[in-house]
Amino acid sequence: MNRSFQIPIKGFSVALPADKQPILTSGFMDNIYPFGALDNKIRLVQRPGFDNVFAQQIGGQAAPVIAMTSVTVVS
Amino acid sequence: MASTLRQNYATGDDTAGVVYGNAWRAQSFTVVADHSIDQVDLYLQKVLAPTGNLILEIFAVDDAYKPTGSALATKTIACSAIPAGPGWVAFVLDASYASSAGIKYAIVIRGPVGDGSNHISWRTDANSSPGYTTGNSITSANAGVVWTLIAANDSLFKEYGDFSVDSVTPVDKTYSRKLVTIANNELWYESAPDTMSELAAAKNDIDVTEPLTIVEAFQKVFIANGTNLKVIDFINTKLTIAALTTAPTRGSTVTQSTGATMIVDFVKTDKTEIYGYTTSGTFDTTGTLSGGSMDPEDKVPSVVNQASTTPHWYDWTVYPGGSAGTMPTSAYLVALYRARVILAGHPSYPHMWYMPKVADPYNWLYSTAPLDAVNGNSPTVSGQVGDIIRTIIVYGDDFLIFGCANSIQILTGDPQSGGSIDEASDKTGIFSFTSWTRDEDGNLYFFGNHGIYLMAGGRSNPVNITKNVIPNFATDWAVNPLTHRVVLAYDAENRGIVIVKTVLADGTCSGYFYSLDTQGFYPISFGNTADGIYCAFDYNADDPTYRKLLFGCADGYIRKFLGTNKNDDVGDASSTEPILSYFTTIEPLSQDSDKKGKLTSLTIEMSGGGTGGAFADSDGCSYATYVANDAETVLERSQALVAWATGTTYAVGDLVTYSSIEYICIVAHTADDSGPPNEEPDTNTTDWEPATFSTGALTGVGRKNRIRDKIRAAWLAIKFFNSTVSETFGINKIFGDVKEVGKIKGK
Repeated sequence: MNRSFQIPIKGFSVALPADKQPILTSGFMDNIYPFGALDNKIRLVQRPGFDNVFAQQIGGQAAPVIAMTSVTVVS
Repeated sequence: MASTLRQNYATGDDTAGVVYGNAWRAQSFTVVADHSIDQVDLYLQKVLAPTGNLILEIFAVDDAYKPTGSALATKTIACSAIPAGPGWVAFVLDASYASSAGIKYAIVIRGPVGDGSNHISWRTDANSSPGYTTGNSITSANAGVVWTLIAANDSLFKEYGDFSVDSVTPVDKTYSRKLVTIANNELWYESAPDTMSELAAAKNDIDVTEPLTIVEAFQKVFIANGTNLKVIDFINTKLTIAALTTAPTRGSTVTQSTGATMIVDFVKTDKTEIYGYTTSGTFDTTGTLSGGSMDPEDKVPSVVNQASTTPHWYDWTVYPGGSAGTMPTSAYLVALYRARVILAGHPSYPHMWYMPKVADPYNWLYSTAPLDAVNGNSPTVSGQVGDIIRTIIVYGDDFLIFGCANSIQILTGDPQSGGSIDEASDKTGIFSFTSWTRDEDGNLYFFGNHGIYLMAGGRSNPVNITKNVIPNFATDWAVNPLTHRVVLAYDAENRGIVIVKTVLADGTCSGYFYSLDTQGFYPISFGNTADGIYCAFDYNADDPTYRKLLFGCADGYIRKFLGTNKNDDVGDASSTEPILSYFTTIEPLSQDSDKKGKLTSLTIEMSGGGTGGAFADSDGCSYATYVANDAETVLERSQALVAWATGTTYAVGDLVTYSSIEYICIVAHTADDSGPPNEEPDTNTTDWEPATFSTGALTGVGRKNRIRDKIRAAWLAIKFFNSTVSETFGINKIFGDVKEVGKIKGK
């Protein structure tokens, strides 16, 4: 008999015993998104990667960036 | 086919412009915006029966505005094809001509064989007033050898070309946005699109080892960093002078003898610096200053600095003069509410909030008058918040949330005009000033006492959205504000909330993505501590390229999630970290809990359809299958979380990972990486056996992968995973052929 196997499109859940795992969830997953940023479709895919925005290293050395905001200025 | 009507004159027909033999006619016109001329229509009348062809040409004009040089474009029409008219006749040019703005050209027609009774007449408006103001009718009696301008005459014409805006292009944008960020006791700002530069004056004037919050207001950024209350000014002109006795009144006009004027915004406490918005002229170091009741009126600036060159950096203090009250001496929280730049988080008065005068962050003279400064001791509101304030969340000018240690308080309205403070929850507080976010519908999400909470619209009862899926969320996380940073951020592009915790000491970062589409939680982690997240900001940049949710990371770089990135950038992006991704699905192979099933084949559809088509193509991934007689055993076999380590004593049944493969201990022993008999699991078949039933790799997109392992078990777990650099994967569907077989025997 042909049978579909669940894909955990509804994400992570550890609230219930394994034999009662809520439908379409998994108790074991990491770095999986329900949304494919490549083509904007709801499907199970690896999460998007981190991409540098600016070439500059804020603070000039390996120290955490702790605050950000923006300011709007008239031209 | 003509595109857009450009230059034309189509009225006042009252004269014949006769064309035959050596009698040529022309009409000059001036192009307003660059475009390709591809058609010309002329208002013509065919008088009786001229023969031959009518030739239309476009020429440049000389200094006398007469046709000159060779034809730039042309079109020939047989006289027999021209209607009697008068009417418009279209000449679609043999080839378009690229005309230039501001240049005058001439349309010339010639060629028919005829006479005074048989000719083509180019209908003309004689004595046109004002007529076509940037050209006029021209005639030649000797086949173009000599041209004569006919003043106040314009022949009717229409010229067509590709679309462009003829008039001055409007500009709607009158402002620019700049990102401001802090790391390593330094402040950096976006000095040019996509370039961050350090503001040297701020170096070591802030202390990142202390809590720090920042907010934009009045074209400045205000910083609350304990006793370091600072302002970065992006708009004013700064005049450095010898000390005044009396500062000019805030909001008054100061004039320099050179003619420059400014509206005063702030004066430094010692009255040696005036900051104001220049309204006319340019301040310099030669003229004396006066106005605004300043005393004396004889100061000449020694230095003039423009914020447009380098932003100003100064202490946030009260306006000098003695009538602006007293600021709190320390604060860690700053926010903008109803045009008041408010402070809270004074370490000695943690329940207190302070608000300056409306639209005047330098006036802290508390009173009961509307618009004046107010604080938690004011009689006009319900007083201090009875809990330690950890964060301030502003909802426009409607209400403000004080996220406290053990409660949530809401200030509604203006505190000086009927505002009130009410408790929204006494069941949870908010962890910190970075541990909350709002989605675009105004719903508030925060990390509270027992997990992640949702307050719909920011005003409803907080609801714990993790308790039914991750019941031990808070205890599992075990975070401490002294050692961890918790960051929540709304990701509009991926339609969800990013929820992470980062170990302050080393940047180790993990958490969840909460999808607003599925309302599910998806664990996330980063393989390199350089990517640890310490803050987030949804940047509405001028350039759409930078209009993203930005993350401030452990190594000093600012990053964003990018769908086309299959790795995580590390450092300056010269190196990358593969994303370790996996998920496990478990299935009973029989509907009878006491029977096994037999799986004869498994088909996996990878995302992407055909390679290179409309849908995003999945790269390959690995898979592993596990079997057991019960669900929890099969799940445990698929998620051995402990790496094999030499020197560890293992018992029968212990699970470890080694080289991404799970192993189960079958003989108790103490591991020893120096060699047999207790060496690594991949070669030590005495002490270990793979916890997997089978492993393999999936490649190709669409329905191209079929696993033909013959599996007999009660429960099956399948793990799909990727740890390969520059690869990603997506799975659409999994299905298999299963039939029930015998009972589960023994244990």
